[in-house]
Amino acid sequence: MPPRLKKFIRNPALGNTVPIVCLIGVLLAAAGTIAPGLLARSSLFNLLRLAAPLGIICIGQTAAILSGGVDLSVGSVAILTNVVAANILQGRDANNLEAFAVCAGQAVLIGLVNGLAVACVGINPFVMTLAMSIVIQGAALVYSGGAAGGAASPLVKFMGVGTTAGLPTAVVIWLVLSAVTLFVLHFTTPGRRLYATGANRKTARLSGVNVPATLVLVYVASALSSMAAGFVVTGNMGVGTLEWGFDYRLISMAAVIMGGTSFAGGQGGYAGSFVSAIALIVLNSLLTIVRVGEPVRQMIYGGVILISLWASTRKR
Amino acid sequence: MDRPFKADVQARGGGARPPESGFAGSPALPSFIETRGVSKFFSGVRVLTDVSLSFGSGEVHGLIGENGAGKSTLIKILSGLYRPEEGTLLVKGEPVVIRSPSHAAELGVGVIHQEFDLIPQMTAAQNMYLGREPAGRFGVVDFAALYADTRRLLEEVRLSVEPTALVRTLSVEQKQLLAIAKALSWDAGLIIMDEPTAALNGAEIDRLLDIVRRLREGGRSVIFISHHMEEVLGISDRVTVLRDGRVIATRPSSEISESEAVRMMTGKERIQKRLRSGIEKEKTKSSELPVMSVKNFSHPKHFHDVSFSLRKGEIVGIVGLEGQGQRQILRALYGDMRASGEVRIDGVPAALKSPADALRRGVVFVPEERKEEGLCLRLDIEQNLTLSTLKERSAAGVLKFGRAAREDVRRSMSDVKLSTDDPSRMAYSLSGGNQQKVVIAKCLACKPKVLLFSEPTRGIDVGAKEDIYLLIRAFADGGSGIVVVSGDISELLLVCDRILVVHAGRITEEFEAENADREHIMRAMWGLGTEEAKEAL
Repeated sequence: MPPRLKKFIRNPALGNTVPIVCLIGVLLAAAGTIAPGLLARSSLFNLLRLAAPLGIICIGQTAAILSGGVDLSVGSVAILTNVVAANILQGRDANNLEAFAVCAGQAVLIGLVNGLAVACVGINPFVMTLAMSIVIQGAALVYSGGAAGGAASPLVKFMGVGTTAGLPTAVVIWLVLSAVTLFVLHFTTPGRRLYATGANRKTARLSGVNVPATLVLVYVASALSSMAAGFVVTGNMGVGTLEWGFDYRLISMAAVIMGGTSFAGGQGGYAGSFVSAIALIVLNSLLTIVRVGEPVRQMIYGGVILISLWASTRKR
Repeated sequence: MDRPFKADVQARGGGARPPESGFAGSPALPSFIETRGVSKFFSGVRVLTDVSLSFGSGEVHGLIGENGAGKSTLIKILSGLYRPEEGTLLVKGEPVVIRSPSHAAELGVGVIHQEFDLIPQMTAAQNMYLGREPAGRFGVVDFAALYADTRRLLEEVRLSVEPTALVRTLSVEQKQLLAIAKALSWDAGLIIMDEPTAALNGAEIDRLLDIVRRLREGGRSVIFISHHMEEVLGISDRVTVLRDGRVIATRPSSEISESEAVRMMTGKERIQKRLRSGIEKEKTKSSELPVMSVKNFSHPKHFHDVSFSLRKGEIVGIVGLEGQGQRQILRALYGDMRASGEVRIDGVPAALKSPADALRRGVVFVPEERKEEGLCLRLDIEQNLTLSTLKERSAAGVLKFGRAAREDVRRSMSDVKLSTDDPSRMAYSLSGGNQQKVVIAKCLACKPKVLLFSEPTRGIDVGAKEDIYLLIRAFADGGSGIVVVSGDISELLLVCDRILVVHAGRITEEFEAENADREHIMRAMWGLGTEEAKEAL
């Protein structure tokens, strides 16, 4: 292997990107032999479209875990966004601005509360964001009166199921947000401060980093990325609903850790989370087409998550 | 409680022991524990050399020496944390290999650490019998016996708290006594007390010393370590002076004076060379405005009424025994800790509320714990080096990259003589010396007016030490004011222009490094008066 390539692969910001890309290849090859139709362009796009909300949520989750914390409120923020947005939109584009404003506002508020509680009060991020997620789920129930209603506007539907430049719009949104994320993490001062805060909070503080501000920013960014994912899902489903297929809270955490971002903080990056999101969705589809029943599927799925967590703990 | 050690020892090994083997002043007490020719190495470096000591039952044995003289290594050997490479240990006259701290406890060695090893959320009784609670039928804890035993032992150390009192509600003194009672609970024949009086006040110290005497009367052996010479000489029967891992002397306390002890601790070796300032002394003295001046700087707990000023190009050393507040002074100057008083930088009053504040004012800090506080070990050299100067290295929040930025980092790296020129090397993969150089490079990038160093060369190999001394001198010559806190007097004599001595949170003396006397400084560190110092000369 040429040394430059070797150095590139070993770049800590890449995490497990390279092995996971290989894993996706293996999974796709297996899926292709069982059901050749799966490798068709349209079904591959469909897989990516499914992966997009998870991938977008992973943006915030990666930031939270890089900072040495975690955000368990991601899934609930997405659900709340869906319920609130669908109800405001009522299928009309005229309501787009209001829906975006309200959802962004509540996301920022949730992020602020999470961030301040973790950074300034010193509550453990696991506990804080878990409690927050329970509160939000309750709020979504109260808001919808137990039966979510409303419908996505044409614009939001376009976000979920439309096509842009030959690609699913959801995927385009995901790619753009991913590019922004990678840029912020690796080429800006907030990104550097985030890594330093996660790697060693004391050192960061003594080096003049405003640690509380950095943490608050992380949780606000996380809530906003969950909100974005919430809109994509709303577009995809077309309606507001409390019945979601995925528990994004755990899957996003699994994807980030599987991608090579360390729970200890300050190590890893978004590239690994990006490909891990795809890998988890591909695995899910593969299990669906081999007609593994839902319960067994969940067991396998949980096993994969456990193994990747175990492997990443062992590495340290 | 009656402890049968004396009789036991005499019956088993005492009589058969070889005749007194040349320990000066050794009283005719049977030894509880004895070291013979014990040596210890750390990665090939000898830290203890041929230590032969005996600690008698019914004897209080003082252990004194500078930081790094080998006291703590010796204690760790006695308490089973380290195994010596050479030599043997004898407990009650019989050779033993102490395998672990719990084995040491079985053999009757009790260590009372400065942090006491007590669990604050548990009760006094639970702490005392942790893991070996008296069990009744079916393994249920026999609380009646537990509390009765505890009460008896607490009485023995004159601690009047209930066995059910939670440890976190106890005062420092009470915890200290509880820790002693805990050692008694396993019938320890040897009790090692590491700085037992450090956190106590006058009356509490008297009470503790009383307990120590009672332990002696009960036939136990006590090793007493303290930074307070008076205390050590007052309480112990014999004193051993350690220096550079060797036993310099063991004497009856009544036959050794404080100044003699200090002389033995420091040794007679002279500093071979001093790093001379490149610029003329006159020039620095004439720069009228101090770069930093500190007035009545106080912290309720750690230091009091500290005042000094720092000229451009000057290196001021602050020296003191462990825990005298010198490190906290530096932290407060860096805004990492709040303190009252006035700090001026270039004559302008500066309220330093946080490290970020201090950095903006041109004050930088190299902490003593480079792994915990100086570096982000999981990040690379470049990320570490640029951390304090991200603003200068970016435009609108976007980091500058490209040739100029890369060159800048490379230059910083070679300025501090890093052994690697690859900025993407991870910090954890560097040696201690190189890690410290990265921390220094990070601080230098801020173009500081004032540099604060805390133990700049601790745990660093000799070659890198010299590099760091030269760097410190070079920054001073470049016009920065520098404060170095260190426990190593030789180091301060080598690099500093002036040395301030801190004792019990106050600056007690000031020396010009050029004609400072090592022994003098040492006396001041131990809080010994100046009149006595003159007398001793």
